[in-house]
Amino acid sequence: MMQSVDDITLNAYLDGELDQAATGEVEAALAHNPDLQRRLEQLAQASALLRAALAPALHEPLPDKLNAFAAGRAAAVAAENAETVPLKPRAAATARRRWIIPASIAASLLLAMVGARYGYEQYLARGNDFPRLIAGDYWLDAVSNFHQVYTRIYANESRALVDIPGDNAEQVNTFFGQSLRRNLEVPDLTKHGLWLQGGRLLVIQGKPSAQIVYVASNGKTLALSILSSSGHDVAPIVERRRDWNVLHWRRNGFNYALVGEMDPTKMRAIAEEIAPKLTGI
Amino acid sequence: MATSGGSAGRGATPAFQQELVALIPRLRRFARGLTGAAADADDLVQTACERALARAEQWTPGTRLDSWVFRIVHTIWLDELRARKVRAVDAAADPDMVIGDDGRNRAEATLTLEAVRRFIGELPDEQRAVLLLVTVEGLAYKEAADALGIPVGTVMSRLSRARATLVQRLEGGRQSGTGTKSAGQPLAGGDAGRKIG
Repeated sequence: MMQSVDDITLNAYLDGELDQAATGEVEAALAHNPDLQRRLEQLAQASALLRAALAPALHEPLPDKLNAFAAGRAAAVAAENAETVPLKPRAAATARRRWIIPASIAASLLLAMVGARYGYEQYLARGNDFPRLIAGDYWLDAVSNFHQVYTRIYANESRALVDIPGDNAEQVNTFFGQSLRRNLEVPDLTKHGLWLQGGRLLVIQGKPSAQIVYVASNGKTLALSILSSSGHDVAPIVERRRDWNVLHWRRNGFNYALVGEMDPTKMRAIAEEIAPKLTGI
Repeated sequence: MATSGGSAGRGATPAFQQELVALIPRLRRFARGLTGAAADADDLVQTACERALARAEQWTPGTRLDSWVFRIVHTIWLDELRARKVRAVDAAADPDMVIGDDGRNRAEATLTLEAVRRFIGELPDEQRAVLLLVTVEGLAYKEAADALGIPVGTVMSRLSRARATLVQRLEGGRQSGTGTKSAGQPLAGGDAGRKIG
């Protein structure tokens, strides 16, 4: 019906700010309007380039003054933490569910992954410079978009979050180990109140990426994503994608990211614990 | 107590201080986008961190700390901009210093990350802040509106204008650019030598 969508609405769609009805309208318009697809592609590309352009600032070493500030805070914290507070054990999760992904849903998810569909693949096909420019940042967008869209769509349906159920951790290990061509031991996060739901395999930048999904007793999910990379090591950093925190690091030839609606302090504690164990080939 | 980095206010719990320190990389990125210069950005972050620490009790636990500190960074930057405008009466028209408008420079401003960094500097201040908070820092429209003290509708229109300009500049660079010079472009450009006032 409505074929024309203004820029403000298209941006809101790109940013995940529209409600379900408005999202549906935009997607219906997109399906039949190549000009609109092109516009969305341009906006998504500009946004990805902007993130990539500023990404280096995130990883530069701190100047002396800021270092001193951080050290001063660490000292103050250490002094106050003289008596440590142990983590309170959490109640067991409600019944674990087994979720399976229907193929039709996977297809519609792809449509929703604007950044991937319009921002990356089409540019790749055209031999554009874009993919190389945003490579470092792109995979984070892909894994966090995917996880967000997935959880949004299935907020009220208890299924379809994983390809391989987590009942058998060994099976998950084997599957992803083979896919990523490395040994992988799926981390056990039960002491953080997180239960293994299972895993799913995404293809990002033509490479397989493992996404291992955990769920807390309140139903919130946490996904650990792994993708091989030729880049140098990068220390863990927490970023935001709307309501989600994305904690990412790179170590020994692999990118890792934790995506979840979870307190960043808690996510950092988890990352610190699992990062050394995940290293290894 | 008087550790370097200013004195902590009453609300500066250990958790608060840890979170604040963990935010520093993102604050630097936001500040770099706002100021366009590494040294300015780090001064801005330093001042903002000290202010956040001193006024920690003004932050409401349970709300997002990052949004709150971004607001402090932005407020300090606006003050700085105002001060600079007063100081720099003679150094007027600086858009030309941001990017040369002659054909040669424009041709070089092809689709590279360096060019994108320059384009950010060309945007009006108020659009730049919105664009950075939403697109780079991942804040929801409502959070960006709160951080900047403007209505959500204004966030949406500024964001839309800023992205449209960015697209236009990128497309322009692609059309008029004679091939990309991006091959050897370092990603980790420090101070881009850009000047905004």
